[in-house]
Amino acid sequence: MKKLRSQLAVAGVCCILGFMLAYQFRIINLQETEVNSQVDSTQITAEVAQLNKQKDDLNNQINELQDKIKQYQDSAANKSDVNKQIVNDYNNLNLISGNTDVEGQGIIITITPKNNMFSPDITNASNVITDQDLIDLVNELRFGGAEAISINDIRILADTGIKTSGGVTNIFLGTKDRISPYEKITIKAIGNKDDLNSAMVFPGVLDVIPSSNYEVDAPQKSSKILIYKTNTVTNFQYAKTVNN
Amino acid sequence: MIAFLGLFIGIIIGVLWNVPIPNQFTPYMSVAIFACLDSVFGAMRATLAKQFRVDVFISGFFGNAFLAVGLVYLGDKLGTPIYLAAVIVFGSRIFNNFAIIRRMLLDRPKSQQ
Repeated sequence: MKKLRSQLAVAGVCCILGFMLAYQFRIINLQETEVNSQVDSTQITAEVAQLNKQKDDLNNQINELQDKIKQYQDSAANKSDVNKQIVNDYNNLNLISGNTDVEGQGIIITITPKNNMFSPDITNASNVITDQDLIDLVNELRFGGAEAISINDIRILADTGIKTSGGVTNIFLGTKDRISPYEKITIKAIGNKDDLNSAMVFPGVLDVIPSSNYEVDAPQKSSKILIYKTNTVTNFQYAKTVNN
Repeated sequence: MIAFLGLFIGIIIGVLWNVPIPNQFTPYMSVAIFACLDSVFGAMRATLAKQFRVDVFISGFFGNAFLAVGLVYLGDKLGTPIYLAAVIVFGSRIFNNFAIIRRMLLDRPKSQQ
């Protein structure tokens, strides 16, 4: 009798052990399938490379199509004065919307992160360039009469939002492009170079850049600056023209 | 024999019955399983040596499991992987017990001759 009871107790304990084993196996299997359903990093890297290639291809296509448009424009403009006028307007609009590379006189501002060992905490927002600083600079440049602005060769247009993201690790320029506040930042602006220069060297303007961590060179005047066209497409989804 | 029946029933329950145990307990479960396996191997060895006692087995089974889980919890709170200690100790004990069981089983036919 006593032996039977002890055997039953052992059976009960083994039952618990079996339950735990089976349960654990099932949970681990479940977790593994979850992990497998997530794409692993190598796959993502391959995908990024592929998408980058696609982007380049599409950019090439854009350039080809724009060349074609240009040809059509030229052939149309040759025909009559009205067409010439239209082409002129069109070119102006392209300048405003940043659809063409532009060049002209202007200034270049270079901001280089200092590399000293004793620099204050560079992850602290007050020591790092943020969206606000860039917005201030762009605003000053516009006020100084800048006609085209780019930051690290990314065109800043009327509808380009500037926003810090990921703590202070990225600054988005528009929704697709981003720059790092820990790398060299080059701001180019085309306009009257003397006006722009005086707008920039005005006391307090360039002081928005945290001087503890960044070296800000004096604005460099140049008679020929090239600013690339934007890579974004502006589609007005909501704003419609009012017909009176 | 009854023990294996119990184990079998337990496995079936574990596969079929979907008990909602939160996911964060899975590390505790795995260490507890290790502790229980250790107890079972110890019991097998004791049975072969004819020293098996139910109270020792059951108290060891639950005691080891709870102590291991407690250690894992403590390690989690202190930020030290104490569960490694539990895993290593139970692992070495399982191998030890298995070695002794092996010897006993191999020696048994000889002693009967």
